[in-house]
Amino acid sequence: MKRLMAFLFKNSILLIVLAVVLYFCLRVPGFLSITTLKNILMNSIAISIIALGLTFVLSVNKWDVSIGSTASLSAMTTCYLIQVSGGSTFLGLVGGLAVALLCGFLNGLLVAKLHFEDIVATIATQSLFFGLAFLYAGGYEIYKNMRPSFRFIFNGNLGVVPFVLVLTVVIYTIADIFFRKKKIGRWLYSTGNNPRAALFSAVPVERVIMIAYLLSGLFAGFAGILGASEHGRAWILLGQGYLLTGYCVVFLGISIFEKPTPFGTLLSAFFISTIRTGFVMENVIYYLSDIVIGLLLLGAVVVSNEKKIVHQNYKVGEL
Amino acid sequence: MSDIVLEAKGIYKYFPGTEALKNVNFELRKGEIHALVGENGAGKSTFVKILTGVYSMSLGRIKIEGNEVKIRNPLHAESLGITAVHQNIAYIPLFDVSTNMFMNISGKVILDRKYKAKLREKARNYIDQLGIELPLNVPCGELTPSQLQTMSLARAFSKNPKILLADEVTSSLDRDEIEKLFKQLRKLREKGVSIIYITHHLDEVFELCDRVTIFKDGVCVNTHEVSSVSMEQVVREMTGKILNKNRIREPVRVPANSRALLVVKDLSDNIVKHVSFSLEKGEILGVTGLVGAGKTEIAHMLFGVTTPKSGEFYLEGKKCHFKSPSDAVKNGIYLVPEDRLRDGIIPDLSITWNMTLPVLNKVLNKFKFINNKHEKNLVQGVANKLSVKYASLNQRIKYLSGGNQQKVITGKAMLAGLKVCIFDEPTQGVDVGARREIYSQITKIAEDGKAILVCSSDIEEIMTLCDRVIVLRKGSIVAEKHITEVNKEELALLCQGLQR
Repeated sequence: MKRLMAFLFKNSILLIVLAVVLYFCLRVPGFLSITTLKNILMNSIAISIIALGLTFVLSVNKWDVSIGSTASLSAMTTCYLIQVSGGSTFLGLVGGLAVALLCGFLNGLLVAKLHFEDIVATIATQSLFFGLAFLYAGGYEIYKNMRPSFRFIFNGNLGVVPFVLVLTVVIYTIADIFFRKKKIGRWLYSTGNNPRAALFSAVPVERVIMIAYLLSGLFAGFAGILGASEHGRAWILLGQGYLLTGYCVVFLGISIFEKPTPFGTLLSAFFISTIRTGFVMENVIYYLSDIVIGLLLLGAVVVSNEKKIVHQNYKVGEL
Repeated sequence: MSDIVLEAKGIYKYFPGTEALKNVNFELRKGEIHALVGENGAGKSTFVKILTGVYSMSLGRIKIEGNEVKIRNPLHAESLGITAVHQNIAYIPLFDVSTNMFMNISGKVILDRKYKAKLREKARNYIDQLGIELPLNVPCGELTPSQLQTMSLARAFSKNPKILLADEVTSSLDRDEIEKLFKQLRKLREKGVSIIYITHHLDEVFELCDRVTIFKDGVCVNTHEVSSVSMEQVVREMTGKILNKNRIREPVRVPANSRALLVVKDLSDNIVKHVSFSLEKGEILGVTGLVGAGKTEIAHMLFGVTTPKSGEFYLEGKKCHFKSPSDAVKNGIYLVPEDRLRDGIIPDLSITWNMTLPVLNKVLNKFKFINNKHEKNLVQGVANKLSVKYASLNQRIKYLSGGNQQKVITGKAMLAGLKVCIFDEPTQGVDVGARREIYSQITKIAEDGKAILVCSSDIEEIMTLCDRVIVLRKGSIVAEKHITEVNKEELALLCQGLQR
């Protein structure tokens, strides 16, 4: 009985998610169809990209709350560059991603090198990036000169498969290999679990934290660009919902696999997207899904606190 | 009958997968100091945690002064008259001694000035009863470790305990301070308090205690009157082995070479003052001194954790300037740090991951991917050599006992196989048997032609392990001797600065 309870608690969040998904399958007409599946997958893409960056940051036990603003700023930069260059998708992409990397670099500099408190530093930078995003158009949308090549990134197909889906799978496969098979994976986890001991074990701790923030910025920016590509325009609030959903996805992954992993994140992104899509199809009031996602994040944090690999303040005095 | 304060009968404690205590029977007399000894993982800690209400027992009965009790939690244990003093003292650095002594009193009292005077008076009363000296209005953050230990003892005494548990209370104290502490404990005994004294140091048992109970593998093996048992017998019952103070190998005398492997010249920082020495291949050099003499600081400078203020060091004639430990490892220096929990282990990672972390380059295949099979074989080999006890190599390292954790981090140095290997307090909190295994592996590394530096305040350890020894006092070298030219007593005196 005790064991059963423990099992139920450990997997409670996963079970709740599966129950909700099952509910949609049974109750919502047309939920079990290829069209719905494709919708779910396409809806999950931006969020799984942004959550991948968070996976890196959370594996070193740091927070990055600036990702939403980074996404907006990168999207605005990309569209602005396309607009003023008269439609150069390439220039836009390079510019947008470069800005994203710069955002990550600034966060990394503050947290890894200058040892600022991670949450405080990224709250400050999120405001900074958000303010900077206004510079291009004073807060208006940017939509002129968008070429099909730009729209292709999110909306194009390779045969019958959406291009962006293939891209996501490729990115995740590479990330997964880096986490499981390369030195950096061990470095990330050990830095997150006990940075001092990692330092004494010849892990370049500052560099590892810097890399995590760089990737967090890069993927946040890319997610923003994907959003812009989907709609053919960029607007200030584009990255608004990314923060909450991103964290929800990563923590759900941690609650399943005990530590931040790319696979766990991808799986959770799919589940969360399923729930969101289900709510839309069920025609319930739209903000209900925010409530549910918020509760899921709380629940996932509670469960993963019990068993996650990354946690602070390990040193509890031996009695 | 009435002089039995505590009686524990048939105590069992099960953890998932293990039986931590098996049918433990234990008796504590009124006004005795009763030692608990045993190797790491023998069950002492578990037993103590049951007495203080941290764990609940699976089976068994506990009687206090003849009344059967069920200890629910630490607070309940205190109300029953069981109080504990630990090696890590809980205190609030900003508050003064009297406030820290009566921390369980409500916050309102702490802020009230009138009460503050009363509190101080009360504290003074207890402190006088113990015959100790302690500045009452100094914030605890400014106290020395020894004063803190005294404070925590006074705090425990203020709860009027019948039974006092003292768990490894001497670990951060030097010889003089230990003696002072013993005086205080004896005073408590005179006042009729029964003390359970947990320690790794058998000499303390023979100096201080009346009876000794030996734990081994979760079983309470035996209880002796200290006056009628020899140290050899206690060790035999603890480990099943014969006490072996012999050296692992005869001290070697490496000819002083003009081109030594490691040459340190005039190294200084805030604590260390102008330290120079050299270290040859195949040699084990000991660095000893009291707590705070600068041993760890030297190790940290050599390993690139801190930067020297002045002075330099050369590895194979090449001047070194390390920006970080990872730099040091690349150039051939490795350090096994002193504080295992803080600096040594990554608690939630597996034994394997912990062990290969500094040497991941060794387990990469030609595409720079980690070769898990190769990694497992390497780790298995080292773990067997050190006879680490584990359920699985994928087990999180925090679930190992302290001694086994120490073996794993020693194993990291063996895997690294670098030119110079520094061990800072290599057997702190490690039992006799495991200590021996660690010594023989360190010796083996030296025999492989590596140079070894052992920083230790344990003179026994220096005498058993090292070929040559440097004595530090307040940051400066006061003596450098070959191990054959010196004995234990002389070394101890040198550390105290009593002989030149």
